[in-house]
Amino acid sequence: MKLKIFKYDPAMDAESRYIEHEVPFKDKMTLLEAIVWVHENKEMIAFDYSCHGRMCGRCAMMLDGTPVLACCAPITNKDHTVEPLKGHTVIRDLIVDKSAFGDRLSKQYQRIRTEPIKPGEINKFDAAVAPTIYDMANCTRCGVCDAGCPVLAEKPSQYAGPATMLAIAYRFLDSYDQADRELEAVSKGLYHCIMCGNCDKVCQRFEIKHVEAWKMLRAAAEKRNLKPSYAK
Amino acid sequence: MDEDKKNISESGEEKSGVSRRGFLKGVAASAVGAAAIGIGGMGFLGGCSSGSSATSGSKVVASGDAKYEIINTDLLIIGAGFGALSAAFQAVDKGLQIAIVDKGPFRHGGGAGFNWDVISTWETQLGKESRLKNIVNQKIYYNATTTDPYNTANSDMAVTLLNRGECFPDRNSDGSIHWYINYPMVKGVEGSFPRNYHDALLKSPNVTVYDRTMITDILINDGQCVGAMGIYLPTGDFRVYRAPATILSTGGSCWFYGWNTVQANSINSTDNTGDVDMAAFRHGLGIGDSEYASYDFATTYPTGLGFGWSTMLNPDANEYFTICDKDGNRLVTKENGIDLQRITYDRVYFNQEVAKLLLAGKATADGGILVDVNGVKLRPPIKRNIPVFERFGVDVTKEKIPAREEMYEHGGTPVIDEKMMAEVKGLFCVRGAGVFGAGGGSCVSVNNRMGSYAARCAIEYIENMDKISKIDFTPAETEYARIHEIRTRNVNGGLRPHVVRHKIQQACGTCMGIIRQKDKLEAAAKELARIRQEDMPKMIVSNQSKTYNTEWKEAIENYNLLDLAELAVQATLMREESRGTYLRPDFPQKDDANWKCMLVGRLKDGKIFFEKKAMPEVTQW
Ligand SMILES: Cc1cc2nc3c(=O)[nH]c(=O)nc-3n(C[C@H](O)[C@H](O)[C@H](O)COP(=O)(O)OP(=O)(O)OC[C@H]3O[C@@H](n4cnc5c(N)ncnc54)[C@H](O)[C@@H]3O)c2cc1C
Ligand code: FES
Repeated sequence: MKLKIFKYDPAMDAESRYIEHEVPFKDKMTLLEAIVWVHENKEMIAFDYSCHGRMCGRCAMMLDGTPVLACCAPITNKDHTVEPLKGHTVIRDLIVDKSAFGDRLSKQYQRIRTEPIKPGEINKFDAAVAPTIYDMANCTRCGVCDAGCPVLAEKPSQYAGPATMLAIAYRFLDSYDQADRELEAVSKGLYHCIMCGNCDKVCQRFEIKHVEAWKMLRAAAEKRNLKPSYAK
Repeated sequence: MDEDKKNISESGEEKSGVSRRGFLKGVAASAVGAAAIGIGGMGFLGGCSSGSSATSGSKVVASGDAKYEIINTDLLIIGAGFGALSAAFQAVDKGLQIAIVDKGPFRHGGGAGFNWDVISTWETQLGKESRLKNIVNQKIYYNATTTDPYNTANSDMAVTLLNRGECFPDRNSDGSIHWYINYPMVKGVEGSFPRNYHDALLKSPNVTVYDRTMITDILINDGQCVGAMGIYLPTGDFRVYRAPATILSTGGSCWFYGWNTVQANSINSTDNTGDVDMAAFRHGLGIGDSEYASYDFATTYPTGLGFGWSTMLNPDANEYFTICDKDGNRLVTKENGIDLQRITYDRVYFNQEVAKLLLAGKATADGGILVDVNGVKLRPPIKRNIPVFERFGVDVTKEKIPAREEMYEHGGTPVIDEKMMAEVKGLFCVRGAGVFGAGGGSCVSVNNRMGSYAARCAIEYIENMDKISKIDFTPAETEYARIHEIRTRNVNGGLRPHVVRHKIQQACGTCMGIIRQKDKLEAAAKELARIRQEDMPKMIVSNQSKTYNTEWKEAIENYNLLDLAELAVQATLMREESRGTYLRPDFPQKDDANWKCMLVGRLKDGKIFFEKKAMPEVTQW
């Protein structure tokens, strides 16, 4: 199997290039295993990972044009192209700068309330939505969904992208949150989403159901007559 | 992140808090040699000593002028995991401007940077918790618990965590919290997610985060820690952080234990390589609890998914019923003599009992177990992993999957006093030696409790300290030279960092699990001494660019992993008993008469020496 890997060191190289190496395939191999093999046996590649198990989100990259988490992406015995995650500035080779993305998400995930939760409130939660919010809480914030979103690629100023929308949906379901999340979702482009479901396809946290969440947010928005004119 | 955010300068000179100063002095070559080459000896451990002493084989290459920026802060916190975040919440609540330095991307660094489904536990009967038996500094527990504004030692902790953004989504049908663990002494809830805390902390305007920055040394002036220094990884620039007090909380380092295709025998993070703990060690500070670690079991198949907490089956004490012996029979059973209630809150007991059964011939050929989840109700986070196996064509309900123990936490940290301060003034360690003792590392609730206490101690220290009248940055220049010598070293027949690292990992992989056999420990000690003497001077970085140079980072880390590995192996050999989470078959019993103490490893003249230290006990509660 041949791996074609993106290489770029902005401090040294005039422009990016690709390297190609033959990699011995083995059954049930992950993309991360293949990259480590090249790094250790052929030449140095800058790549980043931490949890080696679908939690930290740091190994996100493009495999043959599709965003994946390298640590849990199966790789087949044919030639492949590996590139840095789409939508972020490359720091070096396969390492991108996701700090602005991460800061934006942190803001979006912050709970908003008039005052802190009191001891008597710990047992008050909408049990009907608890399983859904439990699923959503597993988002690794890897950025794979955004990298695979056709609307975000085309209209980044109108649609904040699936990662942000999921953060909104999470706090929308959070019984302790008091902010107007329906309005926020609509203002951040909920109705620009074309419901193609690519976020569901590329996301490695299989329990997160993005499109269902968007439908839920739209229903809530429409109950309050928040559907924008361009969507009518 | 946000470097322009205001920090209060101690001197009042630099309002921005970020001053840039270039140092144009040449590099002191002799000092670099001493710092880079480290240790080699075996202390007074007879029998297994190879007697190697410090080598001076590597040539020092002056790498140009030391240039670095100086960043000033009220309080420096190294790390951004549970312990560090708890300290940070306390410090900003008291109005301090803090700087957090995280080696990983913030929110994604270390264990807490995995957005995993944590079981948060609380002790419900103060002074009675089982971990107080683990040779811990009970005064720390007493002080931390009785001064704790966040109630981290009782069920009101739930309120604290909810106010840090948690939802606790594991709810009963009436909306009340489902207590996953509800024993007389321990309560626990599933479904905490650490990134809630990162997000919540960022609400404070008093926090400045410097992430993707690896601290490589602490700044010591006249026996006082006045900050730390390290590399901003994206550019390779050197940064010096100045602070009247520094809090260290850089996680448990398990990365020296074994190597597979992409991972050590550990679910823990690639980030945690004991960098700062071992920097403190090289400054002569005592390091304790190196022999202790925490273990669970992890599946190892398919290889790339092995030891990944969300890509594996995790037959731990909570899912003991999935653990099978080599013949596929259930291993952790009453019939095999195991107290099934005790295992859920006493991991030491769990590990030792399983180790005994494995030694008694129940292990698979490679020393592990089999995992059978057929027909079993799995915890939600583990159940969620089954589709990952399916993508690789593995049906875990039909096959028994091989597994082995994995080290998820480790001790090996600076010795601290009852006010969390290390043996140098101004350095406070959330997970210092004596915090977890034979328990082996730390856990979420203890990190929550000790983190905020460390911050209270640091603040008290700052309030009472003498004004720093002079600051000497020479150590920063020495450190700059040390790390750049590692980057630019040129040796014929050089070894790339991963080659050296895998040798360290393989040496420890044979003997640092839950069963530690003497011959294997001795062989590992010998191999580690050889690596130090022969391989480390030959370690070279194949690409010398400073831009996010992962090889350079790995090479710097190897010095720390090697120090830590030697401390761990030697302390285990010295402790001629079985205590804590592992079993020494040659000394299968606990021996309180001789070993109810902490082993403190210390570097003197290039050799490790161990001393015994008794831990204070408390009865008043
Ligand atoms: C997958 C997993 C599951 C676990 N599950 C549980 C559980 O359910 N309940 C429980 O109680 N315990 C659990 N533990 C054990 C334990 O709780 C955690 O390991 C521990 O609490 C992590 O917190 P920490 O702050 O000590 O370290 P970490 O969260 O690992 O944080 C360490 C921080 O230090 C940074 N760092 C490291 N080196 C440097 C450096 N040189 N310079 C700057 N920064 C540095 C890292 O980037 C990171 O930000 C689990 C551990 C793991 C790994
Ligand atoms: S390494 Fe953490 S998600 Fe892949």
